[in-house]
Parts: sequence; structure tokens; C-alpha cells
Amino acid sequence: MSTTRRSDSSANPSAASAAPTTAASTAPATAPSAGTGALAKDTIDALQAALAAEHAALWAYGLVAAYDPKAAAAVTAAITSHQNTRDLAANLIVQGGATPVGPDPAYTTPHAVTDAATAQALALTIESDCAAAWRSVAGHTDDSTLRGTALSALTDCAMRMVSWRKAADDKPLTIPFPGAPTQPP
Amino acid sequence: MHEPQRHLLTRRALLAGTGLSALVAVAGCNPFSTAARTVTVTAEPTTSSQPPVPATPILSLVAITRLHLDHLNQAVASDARDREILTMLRTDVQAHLTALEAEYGRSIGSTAAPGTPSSTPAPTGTSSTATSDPDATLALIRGDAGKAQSAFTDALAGATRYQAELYASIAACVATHRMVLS
Repeated sequence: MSTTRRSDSSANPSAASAAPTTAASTAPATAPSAGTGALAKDTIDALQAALAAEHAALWAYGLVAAYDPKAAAAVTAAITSHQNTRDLAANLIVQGGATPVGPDPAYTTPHAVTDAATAQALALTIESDCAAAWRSVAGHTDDSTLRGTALSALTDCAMRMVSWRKAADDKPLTIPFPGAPTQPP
Repeated sequence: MHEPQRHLLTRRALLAGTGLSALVAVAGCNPFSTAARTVTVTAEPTTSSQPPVPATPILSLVAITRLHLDHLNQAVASDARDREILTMLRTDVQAHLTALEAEYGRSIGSTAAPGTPSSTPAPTGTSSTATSDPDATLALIRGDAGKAQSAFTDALAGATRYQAELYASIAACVATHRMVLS
């Protein structure tokens, strides 16, 4: 993750206990419908990663708001969307039989944020990280409802990535495989 | 004395024949029809070395993507006003087609999808869908993106986990295409 959690900080000793509970690890390999029962461990792990990415996004958008006031409307909309997705992920994890990871007090950004340009670059990193996490959720479940949820979140991130590239006048605006760590095949 | 009996036999034969005809009609059989009606044909062994194409949902996704790419090629050729953005979209869709063909090959244990030469760009400017009206061109491409988004979203349910990630990324990408074309 490019926007890394400061989980090694002594200020956040609870971060180490953010792993999925043992109850989730005993879940059956084939997960039932999303939100209706225990989920498989790999599904829970992917959801926990998505939730952690959403926590980091919400923290980092605070920085973006501070250094790119002209993008206030876009930042507000993004924060609202990420709050909804964070809550959704947390609920899915609870319903899946695990304890959701919590936010860290602070995160390390991939570069210093000092102006609007670096703030926009951070916003792009945020969305890229979240897109990767939700794409992974789609690939760590056989449940069609959960896959649909992951796709919805991934699509939202991909569209915001386009908006931030447009704001930064980056080219190309679109990428063929949003969320992919490396471009297939 | 024998005359009535012969008459009776004839009537029985007539009734039996009529009943049989009715039964045949009710059963949906027509003894007077030509043999071309319900014939099961077993194909002759072909001299071609090409194996039959396995039925898999990814084939329809390959077809949708090829058509989308074909339209984008035509649009790039005909729409000077939006050429830059259309070229960007074409690059994405070409990458989708390459990935889908590779995945299809993996799924059937081959290296390329039959009938879909790998990574070969579709012909440009040859279809009747080509138009000189930039707005109509964009509408066509927007429509293709919408169809692709629906198709890849629908395909998620029955996909393998690797395919689910691939389809999700493609669906998200074409959603961004609709966004930039709006």
C-alpha cells in the first residue's frame, strides 16, 4: 500500500491486534451469501485489506482538503463515498464473523504533500490503493453479491482516478485495468 | 350370407385406419411430411485440423470487445475532432481484448481463441456503422461501453476468481470510458 499505516508506531499498539479473529479462520471454504453468515478466511482477509485502505483514504483526504482547497467539492464527495464504503466493508466483516480492523492515528504518505499538485497526486494514490483492495475482494470470493459490491466500489475509485488525473492534466486519463497490480495478461 | 361380413370387415378397417391417422396427428407425426423436418445430422468428420470451439461465456465477452474495438478503430479513422480521446479508449480496449484472448486460451489449454487472432486490430473504416458525424460516433462508442459494462458485470457471477478480477477491472474501465465520453 502506498499510503502506509503507521502500525509500527508505539502510539498505536492496538494495530497489531487488527488481524481477523480465529472464528473467521474456521469458516467453511465456500462462503455463503454476503452478509448472511460466516465468510471464508481469504474473503475476510481481502475485506479487511479493503477496510484498511478505506480508513487510510479517509485520513489522507484530510490532507488533500487542506492543500487543495479548490477541490473542496470533489474531496467532500470522495470522503462521503469512502465513508459509505468503509461502513459497508465493516458491516460485511462483522456479518462474516470477524472483527473489523480499526483506523490508525496516522499514515505515512508516499511523498510530502505541500501544495495542490502533490495533494492531487496523493488523491490519485488513495484511489489507486482502494481500487486494488476492492479488486482483490472480487477475486477472493465466489459470492456474486459480494463480487457486485466489490465491483461497485472499484468502479467508484476508477472514476475518481479519472477525475484526479483530469484535474492534474495527466495523460492518459483512463487505464485499462483499474486496481490491477500489474497489467494483464 | 358372406356379403354383410365382408362389409363389416371393410368398415372395421376404415375405422382402424381413421383412428390410427388421428393418433398420428395428435402425436405430432406426419407420415406424409418430407424427411427434412426433424432430422438429426451427425457431422461428417472434417478434414480441417481445427477442434470444435468449447462453449464458454468468455467467448461472448471476446466478441463484444472485438466489436467495440472495431467501432473504435472506425471512430479514430473518421472522427478528427475526438481522435485523441478515442485513441486513448482504443488502447484500453485493445488491452482488454489481448487479456481476454489470453484468458480464453488458458481456460481451454490453448494459446489463442479460435477465430479471434490474438491482438490483431479489427479492420478500420470498412463497416456500415462508420459515420462522419462526430456526435453519432461518440454515441455509438458510448453505447458500446455501456453494453460492455453490463456484459462484464453480468459475467462476474459465474467467473473463476482470476476472471472475476479481470472482468471487474474491465467493467470499471469501460465505466470510466462512459464518463469521459459524457
